[in-house]
Amino acid sequence: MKKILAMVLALMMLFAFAACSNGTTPATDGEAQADPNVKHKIGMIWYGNTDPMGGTFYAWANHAAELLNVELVWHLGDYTTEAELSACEQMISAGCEGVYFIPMDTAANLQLGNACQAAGVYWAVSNRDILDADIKAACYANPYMVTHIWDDSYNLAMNMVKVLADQGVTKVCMISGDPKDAMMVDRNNGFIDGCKEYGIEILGSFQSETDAKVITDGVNNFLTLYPDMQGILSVSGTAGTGEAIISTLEGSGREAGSIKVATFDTFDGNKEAFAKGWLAANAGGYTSECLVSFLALVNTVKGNVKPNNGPYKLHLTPIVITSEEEMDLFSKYVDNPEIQLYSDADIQGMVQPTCDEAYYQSVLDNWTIDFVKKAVGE
Amino acid sequence: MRERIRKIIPIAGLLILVILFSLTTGGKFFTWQNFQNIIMQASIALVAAVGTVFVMAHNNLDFSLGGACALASVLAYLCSGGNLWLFCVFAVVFSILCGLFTAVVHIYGKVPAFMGGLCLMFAGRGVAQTMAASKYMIIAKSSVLNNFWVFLGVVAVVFGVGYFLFNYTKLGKYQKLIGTNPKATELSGVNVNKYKTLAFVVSGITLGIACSLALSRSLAVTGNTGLNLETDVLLALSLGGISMAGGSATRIRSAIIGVLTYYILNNGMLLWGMNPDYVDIVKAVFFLATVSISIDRSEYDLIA
Repeated sequence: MKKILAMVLALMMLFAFAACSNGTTPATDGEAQADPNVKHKIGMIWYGNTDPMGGTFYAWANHAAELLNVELVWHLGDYTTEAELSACEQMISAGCEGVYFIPMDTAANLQLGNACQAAGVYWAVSNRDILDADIKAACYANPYMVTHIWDDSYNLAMNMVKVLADQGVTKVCMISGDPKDAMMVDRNNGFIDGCKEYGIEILGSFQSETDAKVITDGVNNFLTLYPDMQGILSVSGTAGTGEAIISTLEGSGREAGSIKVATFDTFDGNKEAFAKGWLAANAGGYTSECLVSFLALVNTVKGNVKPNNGPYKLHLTPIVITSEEEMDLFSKYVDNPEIQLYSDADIQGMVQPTCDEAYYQSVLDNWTIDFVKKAVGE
Repeated sequence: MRERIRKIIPIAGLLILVILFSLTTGGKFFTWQNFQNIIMQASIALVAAVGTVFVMAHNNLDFSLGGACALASVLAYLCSGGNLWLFCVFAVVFSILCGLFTAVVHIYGKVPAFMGGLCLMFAGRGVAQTMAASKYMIIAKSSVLNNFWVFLGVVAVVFGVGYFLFNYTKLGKYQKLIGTNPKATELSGVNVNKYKTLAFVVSGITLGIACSLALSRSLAVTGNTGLNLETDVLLALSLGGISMAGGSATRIRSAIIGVLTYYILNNGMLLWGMNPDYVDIVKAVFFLATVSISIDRSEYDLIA
């Protein structure tokens, strides 16, 4: 036992000795130098690379890093703020000059942001709004925060309602989302305000985002209670819920396409649902905001440009798919790790001294199905 | 000789990792900043592991850690009204109650403790996720505890007290006796159920402290609070060479050696910039190699 304790003590002394030495510190001191020959290092805290979106961004970021002479340090598979913070601290130790992540919780912005600020490391986030006003203010005051991108769910929901209105739908039922979730609140309000704007009556609604059984029961209730229902608006199509809506309608005995569905998130069987006329609008495609956030971070780390007046505050409206052909195109080319939708010139264009908030927003605004068609030459 | 090798492997593995990463990370591993990172990241599991050793010493496994951490944190938040110091107190109180629940299920229900622990794990996670969906439970002031010296102090006190209790008091010694032979221990006049219950109380206290450390790292109680804590702790203790059968071979040093090994391995591979696709494979190989050499096989001698 004494020997073991002695060894542990020796280990501690070695660390203590190291503490007195001039350890390696990150090169960044807040004023990075724009030298194209310097290979900068960026930390990437990412949820995983096995699903379509995760795998696509993983492939896109690796390709961009090679093109831009940037080294990436990946950390995959964490879903808690504590784990993300640990990964961030390790990346700072590894000499990363920038850290990109999707905050798994609003508090993650503050914790990781503080760790980055203390080390003089830039950071960027995407795909999530910051719910707490105090945390948002603190993050925006952090001089090392480069980018904050969130989904523009409100306008997207409005657009989806318009698609139904254009197809003559006047009475709908709605599957709403969690009123405590900022993204779901935007989706709920977008649907409600869209219905007001386009003269559509909401006959009834219930709340559920991820429980396919609840969705099936709820849609059956809609069919029984509201025989004049012409459409269904749904805040989510993930975790089997999109499939549940369509399969319930198919099993209802109604004529195919007599009820039009508009839903967020792509799901299996959506192409067939478009072909049969059940599905009128389906929204998806969030990968581009990850890339823009990452490239804006690279641009800052390279010393090309630094955001003034807080971080770049950007939003993305995901793609609305309205036909079988578009769905086919989306399935083949969007969220496919084999496909680089942004050309090398596009990527290099996003890492230039001239890039600013308006430019990055224009890139996000250009994220449409027409952009995808053009990118793949169809 | 074989026994000596078995005992030395966990600490040797730790030292080998330290030397390996010191030599191969271009000086990034051996820095004060990285040392702080490792200690702070390992602290939550280390504090929880100290209490878990008491439970494992009497030949039980506690699978409730993550769920109990989530449940205790949610309840502590609700009772404290967002006050940090009250949260710390209530976290310990509710963690002890979680430990007592497992103990009662085990002792009076006469079912293995891990069954009660599993129930608590699922129930705790469910409650936390339900509450997190309806309420944002943030305590921004908890960031004051997210400090290296605070973490180091807490770890030193918890480990020191745990070491003393485990090795020099009846509370610890009886756990090992019970793990070695519960029947003989009972016949010698020891109240086995009482000391088993006390082990779960100790585990609850350390878990409650771990809840507060976890809060200071994440600032908020969420549906994912304490996620995978039980697997992290059990994996780390295995790496530390703990006796899975409990008894006199159980050593509390397994907690510190195992947890440090586990976190240094994670840390070093990230400093290497290793392809993330291979990280889990390397961890699995290292884990298998260390455990297959260091595990106490006396209980498996009869397996053909």
